[in-house]
Amino acid sequence: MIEVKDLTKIYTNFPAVDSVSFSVEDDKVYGLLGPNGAGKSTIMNIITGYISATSGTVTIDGIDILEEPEKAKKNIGYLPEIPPVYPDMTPNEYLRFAAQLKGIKKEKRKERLEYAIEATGLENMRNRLIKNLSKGYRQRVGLAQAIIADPKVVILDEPTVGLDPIQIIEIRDLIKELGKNRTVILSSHIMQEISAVCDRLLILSHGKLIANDTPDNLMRMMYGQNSLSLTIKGTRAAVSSAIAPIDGIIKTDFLRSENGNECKVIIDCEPEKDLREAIFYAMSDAKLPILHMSEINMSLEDIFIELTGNK
Amino acid sequence: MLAVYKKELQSFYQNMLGYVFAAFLLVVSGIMTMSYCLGATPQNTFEYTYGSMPFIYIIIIPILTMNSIAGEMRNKTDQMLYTSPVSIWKIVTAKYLAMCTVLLIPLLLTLFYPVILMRYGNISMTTSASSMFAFFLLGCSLIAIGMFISSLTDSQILSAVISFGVLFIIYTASQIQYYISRTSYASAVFFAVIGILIGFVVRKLTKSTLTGIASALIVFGGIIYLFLTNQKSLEGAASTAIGTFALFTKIENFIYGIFDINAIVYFISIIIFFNYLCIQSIDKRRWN
Repeated sequence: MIEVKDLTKIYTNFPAVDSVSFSVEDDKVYGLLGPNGAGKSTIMNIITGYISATSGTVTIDGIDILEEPEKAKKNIGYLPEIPPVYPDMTPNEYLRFAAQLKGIKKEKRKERLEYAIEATGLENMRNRLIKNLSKGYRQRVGLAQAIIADPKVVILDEPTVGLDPIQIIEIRDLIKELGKNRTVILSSHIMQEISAVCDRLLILSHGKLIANDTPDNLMRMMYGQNSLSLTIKGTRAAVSSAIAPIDGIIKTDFLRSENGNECKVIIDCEPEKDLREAIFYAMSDAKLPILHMSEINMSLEDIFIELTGNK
Repeated sequence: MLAVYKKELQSFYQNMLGYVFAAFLLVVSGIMTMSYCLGATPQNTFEYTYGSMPFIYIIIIPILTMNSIAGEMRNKTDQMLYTSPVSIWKIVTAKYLAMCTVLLIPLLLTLFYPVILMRYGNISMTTSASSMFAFFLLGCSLIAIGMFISSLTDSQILSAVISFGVLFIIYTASQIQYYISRTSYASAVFFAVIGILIGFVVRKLTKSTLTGIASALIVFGGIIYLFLTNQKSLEGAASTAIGTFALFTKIENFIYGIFDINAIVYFISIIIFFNYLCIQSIDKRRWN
């Protein structure tokens, strides 16, 4: 659906995007993930034809965005970071304008308008001036504008910023729904959002693409092993000699503990092996009371910090 | 294209600017008509009304155009316009035509004045109408300039202030040209200053000091060449150059009852040129 090749954007000697390449398949939800200033918005602005790249190409459904912009843009619905709404219009007027601007045929306009309003839950706000709407509703109006023309690709730049938790869930459901029969690219720096809806993740840092995989694979790739975190009453020497005979331990890391007669330890276990019982009995035999034991689940958050922090 | 045109027109009349604009134009034209045609010594020259009105353009055109492109940039709504399947020249043209329509509506209403006056005296409807047409074309040219200035900045106030300054200079150009020395030296210095200004503008647009200096040097080269080979051609050239920008004087022939084709071509060229510049300036922004 979308092919991005060697995309580079340089702002007065500073590369905002640095030779990024990826391809986007039909009917999937892609997450563009990265800290602030990683180049997410810039990439989206280039894909949608708002700004041009310094070098590299973007094709949408085989159409180059620079060579045939009008044709390529027909396939895209875009919600930028700041919703592009006119404060002096009502959602109804604004969406009617959007429908006409995007070239929806006259007889279909009303139907698409109703669909967009319903999908984004704007029924009760449709006749209020946009300037009197809250941030969340403005965001919805922007979203309605992006989906009104039924585009093959929907690009959403941080779609849930400024929404309350219930609205976030609603929008997330809408994104899932949209992803069933069209391609969705969304950006975010919130992990939960991404892991909840995306089929594939593109992680960016300092303008470079540093990972491109499914959320599951990313987790498996980075942290195949399962780990346990323990706090044990006793000396390091005693604990390590008590742990030593247990089978299936890859690595034991002692952490600094502020309490002298306690030690904190992270135990990396072999994949799919539950060692909690074995450890419990080993410690009990050695008369070392376990004060705390828990599994460490590596979240996407950790992966994200790991990836973007190290590079 | 129609979508943008309709939206623009709607927004002018929704936020009152369109009505205030029309009211202002009608009040001023009413006062002028009264003083020319209904005053102590009534005259049958309604067209003079239009001849005496252009000064109001200095005030109302910057207000009309300041929001056109700058407002979209500030609002970030340009992201929606430029990512929609409509090319930029269509968007710019639609916006431009909407502003011209806002100007045209009150001007058409002023055509009722001569119709009323005709009952009481001998008024030339054709001269009145052609004067109105010239006055409208002048307004359209100034709108094109104002819109271009609006595309250079995302601050409406800055856009209005710059437009006001530029329109004021254009308005006074016909006077200024007589104060410029007609010697070839003066012209050379004048064009050299223009060359430096061009250099700065080019540098601003391309963000390359070298290109800026190069374009200024090209202008300098031209001046030096002319100065050495054909010094006579530079005599009075500066004041002629300034005179070319005296848009406001171009409608005078119409007021005297002459349908001036040259002036029409001149206005249309100005309109096309500044619309083109406006499109380029928006495109440039997106390419930088």
